[in-house]
Amino acid sequence: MGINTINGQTLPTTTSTTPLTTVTPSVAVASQIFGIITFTVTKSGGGEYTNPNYGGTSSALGDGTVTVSDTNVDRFLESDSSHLAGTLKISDTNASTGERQFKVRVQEFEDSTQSAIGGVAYTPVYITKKYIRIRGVNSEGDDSADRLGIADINFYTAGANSGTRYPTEDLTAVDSEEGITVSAGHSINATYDPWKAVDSDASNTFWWALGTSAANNWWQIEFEEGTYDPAPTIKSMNIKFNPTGNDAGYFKITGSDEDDHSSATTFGILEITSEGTVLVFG
Amino acid sequence: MTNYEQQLQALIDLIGYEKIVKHLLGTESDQVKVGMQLSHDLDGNLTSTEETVINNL
Repeated sequence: MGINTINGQTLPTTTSTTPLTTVTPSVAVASQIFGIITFTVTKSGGGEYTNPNYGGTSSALGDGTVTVSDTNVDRFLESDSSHLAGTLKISDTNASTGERQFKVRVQEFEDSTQSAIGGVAYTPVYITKKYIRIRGVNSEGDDSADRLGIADINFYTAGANSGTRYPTEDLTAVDSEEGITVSAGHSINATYDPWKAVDSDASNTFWWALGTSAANNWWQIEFEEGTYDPAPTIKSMNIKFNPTGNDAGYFKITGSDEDDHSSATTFGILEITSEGTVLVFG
Repeated sequence: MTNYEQQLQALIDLIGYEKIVKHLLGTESDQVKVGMQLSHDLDGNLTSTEETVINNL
C-alpha cells in the first residue's frame, strides 16, 4: 500500500492511462547576431512537446562560466497563446568570445520528472565586413518590396551601443566622412538619399525606398579599404524606422567583402517591432 | 497660395478629395499617408515619378 496523504494533504495523482515519459530535448540554433541567439527546441527523434515548460542556461565551454542564467532566458507563446512555443531566446553579452553550450531541460504537463539535458554549442557572432547591408524582408527572410524607411542607424564596436560609433560623424553626403560611403538599391528622390539615415537629424529626415522592388529594397554602409583594413568589428547597433515611410515588417542584416555583395553572410533576420522609436540590437 | 495649400492642392489634384476625407475619417490610406509626406517634403512639387509611385500604391 502506498502513502496517500502527508500531514493530512492528499498527494497528487494522475488519471492518465499513458505511462509518463521523459524525452530528451533536441536543441538547434535558429538565428544569432550580436549575441542575440534564438533556439528551437524539439523532442529528440522528432516531434514537439505538448504543454511544456523549459529551463535553460548558457555557459562557456572553457571554464563553465554561466553567461546567461535561466532567469534571463526568454520564452514565447504559441501563436494562439495556448502553450509555450518551442522557441527560446537569449542575449549573451558576456565579454568572453569563446564557444558556449546552451543546455535545456523540458518538463511537460502531467510529467512528474524533468527531462535529461539537451544542448547545442554556439559562438557569439559579430560583423567584420567591408559592406554591411540592411534589407527589407518578410518573416521568413525572403526579399520583400515592402519599403524600408530608415530615420537613423548607428553601428558600434562594443555591446549595448558602446565603444566607437559608425559613422563617427553626421553625414552631409553619401561620402562626406573619410573612409565611409553609404548607398542604397533605390531611393525615391534626392530628398531621401541614403545619407539621410545617418545625418544630424535622427527623426525628421530619412532614407526612403518608396517605389522599390524587392531586389532593390536595401541600404548599406561601406568601410573603405585604405581607411579600414580590416573593417571594424560591429558588436551592436541601433536603428529607427520612419513611421510614415517604413512599410517593412522585418529586416535582414547581411555582410560581404565584395562590391556586388556576392558571397554575403546573413547575420540575422530581425523584426521591426515598432517605428518611430530606437530599436537596439546587441 | 501658401506652401501648405500648395502641398494639399498637389495631393488633391493627384488622388482626389474622397480618399483624403476617408483617410481623415479613420480608414487609413497608404496613398494619402505617403502622398502627404512627399508633398510636405517637396512643398507640393511632385514630379511624375513621385505621382506614379503614389498612384501605384
